Amino acid sequence: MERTGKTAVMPSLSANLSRIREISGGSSDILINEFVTGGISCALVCCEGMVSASVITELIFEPITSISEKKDAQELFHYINEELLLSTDRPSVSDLEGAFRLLHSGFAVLFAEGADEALGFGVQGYSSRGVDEPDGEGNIMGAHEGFTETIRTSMSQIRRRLKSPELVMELMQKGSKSQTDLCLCYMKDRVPKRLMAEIRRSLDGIKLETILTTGYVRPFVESRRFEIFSSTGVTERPDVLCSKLIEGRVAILVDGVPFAIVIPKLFCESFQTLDDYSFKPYYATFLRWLKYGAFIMSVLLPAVYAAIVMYHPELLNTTLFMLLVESEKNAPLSIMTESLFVLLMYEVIREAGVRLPKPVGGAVSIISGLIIGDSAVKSGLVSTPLLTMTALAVLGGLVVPELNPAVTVLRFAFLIAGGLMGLFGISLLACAVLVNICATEDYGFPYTAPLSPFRRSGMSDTAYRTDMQKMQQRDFTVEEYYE
Amino acid sequence: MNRITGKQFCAMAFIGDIFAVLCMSGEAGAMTAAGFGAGALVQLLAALLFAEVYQRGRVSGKVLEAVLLLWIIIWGGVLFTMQWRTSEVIYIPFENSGAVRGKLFVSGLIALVCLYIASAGIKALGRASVIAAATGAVCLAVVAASALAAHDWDNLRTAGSGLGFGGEFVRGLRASGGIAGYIVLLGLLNGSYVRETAVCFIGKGIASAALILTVVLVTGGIMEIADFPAVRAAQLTQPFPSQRIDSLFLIVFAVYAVFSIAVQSAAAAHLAGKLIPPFRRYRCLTVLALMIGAAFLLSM
Repeated sequence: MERTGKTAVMPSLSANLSRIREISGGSSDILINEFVTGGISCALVCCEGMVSASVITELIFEPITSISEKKDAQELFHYINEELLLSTDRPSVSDLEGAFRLLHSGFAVLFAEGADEALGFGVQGYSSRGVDEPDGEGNIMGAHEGFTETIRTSMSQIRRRLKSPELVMELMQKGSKSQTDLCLCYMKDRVPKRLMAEIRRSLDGIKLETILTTGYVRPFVESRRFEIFSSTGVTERPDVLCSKLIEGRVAILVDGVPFAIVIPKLFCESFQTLDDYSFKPYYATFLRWLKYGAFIMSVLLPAVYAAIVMYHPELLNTTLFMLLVESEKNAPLSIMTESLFVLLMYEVIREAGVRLPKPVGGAVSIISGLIIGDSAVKSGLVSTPLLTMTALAVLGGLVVPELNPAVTVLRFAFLIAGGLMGLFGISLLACAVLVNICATEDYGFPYTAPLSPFRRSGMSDTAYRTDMQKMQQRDFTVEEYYE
Repeated sequence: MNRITGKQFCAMAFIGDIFAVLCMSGEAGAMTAAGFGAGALVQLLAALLFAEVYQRGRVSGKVLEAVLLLWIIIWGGVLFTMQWRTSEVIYIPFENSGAVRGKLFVSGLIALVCLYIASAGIKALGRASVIAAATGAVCLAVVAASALAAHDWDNLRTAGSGLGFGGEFVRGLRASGGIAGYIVLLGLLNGSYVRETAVCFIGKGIASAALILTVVLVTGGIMEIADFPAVRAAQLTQPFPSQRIDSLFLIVFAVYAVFSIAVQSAAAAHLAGKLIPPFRRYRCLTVLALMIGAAFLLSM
């Protein structure tokens, strides 16, 4: 019996069970427990590994099997639902597709002879990673907990920090096969209405079969044009996410991923950390500028070094010039080739360190750092100043980890431009990159705000960090930057 | 909507005009600065008139738009010619090694970057122009401050082109062909046309005059042999005993060349779209090709 493409729950228990076996293809993890209670034949269906065996025994089986005689299935369901209260979450479904969605989300589903609906019990008990310190967003003074892979846990982490009825969390399923839970979070009194409408429209456009990481969703909520930097952000910290929600941004949580997508994202936000608001404003301002400097150094240092040494030595003073000449004269390769070689070597080592098991990864770092690096310099393949510049550039990139993928590619591009055409090449490429960054915008929020378009008020958390009282008075929401 | 703010409008205008001063050839003196300043004042009056007419929505008509488009394309050609000539005296690594072929390569690269920038849209160009103009202004200020170490006040009295105030005034007007592009950009401006026009042209007049005066103070003594006074002034810059910073000028030259041509290209592409609405794709490429064609014709 199919209504609107769905298989309705039939009054015949055996027909329902055989249909369930047929749909699941006899999958071993679908467990069907048949029993009689209240004089009515029933079956409790659950998915192995998704439910807690102890909870299901104590809270479902024990009370449910001691029910007295009932007239029919409707009376039985009414009794269970209204009087027994076996779990807090007790949805009822009238089609088998809905029943499967519940089964795969850790519910136990009760079918009864003569009932044209099934009753679900939330008895989730799958194993999941506990709340842990986030790896990628280190923090000194703030909380030391990050999101987990379980979306409900992540939602509770946000709710604990924002105990306001204005915080809305909307759950939806996306992915025709994976039926992944996505959670749209926003503060309904802060978020721009048109931003919400457009994000909903973008999410409606997701026609994927599976959603396994945030990377599956991000392209649907970002502009389609080529952008070097991403116009949506991600965070693995609930406290950071709460600060974004308060500013009127929208977050998307993806079940199975300990990261949240934040929309819209601004370039200057990559340089802000929660610690900035724990330190004194003068120190936070110093840190902010240190990060700006590190970012520029990370992108441009190898390129500028190659350009100056190869084409513009007049910029150097005599001592420095002689020092560089002395160290470079024995190097067999051109400075650009040398730099490319060192940078590529670093990227290979980094990738190996990330992918390998941790103990081996440490060994790779030692081999690469001490043996390859040391021997490359001693053999004269690479000069010491160049190695120093490259190391500084790489370190600078690690100061702003969020931008590291873009910085890595830009570093190579600028190095080639600087090596071939000196400062002229660097300037031309810088113009193109600048325009690309300025063209980046999401849902009408320019990525380069508040620098360009310039908003003086935005400078209080960009060029410097003003004190909390002043920030509080400002009552900032991201809508200020809408163009 | 492709709307720009007042600051973006001023930055786009500023870059084009300063680039023209940087590429200025021939002798210059204090009178040149006065001529450029007066030229900017006259342009301000003309532009204010246009701004007023724009504000009342009276500017329309295909003929006017076609004339503006033609003007912008020719001015784009002039900018390409300026870049071509000036790059002869600036040390650009590849350009110097390959003679004409190298110069073609350099100009081609500039055109390619301009094409990318103009294609990104006027809004993105406006945002980027503010940052580029500010960066360039800081670099220019550093070069100017360093150059002033070699200044000679007597140069203000002795140096000059001998054209007199009238001649310098015409020269100032000639160096500001970007006005057609600004008229187009006015139509995209968010805010008061009159106020932004006034700010833009007064700022431009002051900046141009200040730059020329700095150049005269440094280069005045050797003005007869300085084909490009601004470039020569940068080359004479030596703030430290053994260090020169004229490479900084190269950065300003490259950035301002790219942005001034890109602004004209974007304005021309916008106008072409208005004139021929079905003409959507390859508008920037076409106007840039026309500008390069105009540059060839002007160089012959």
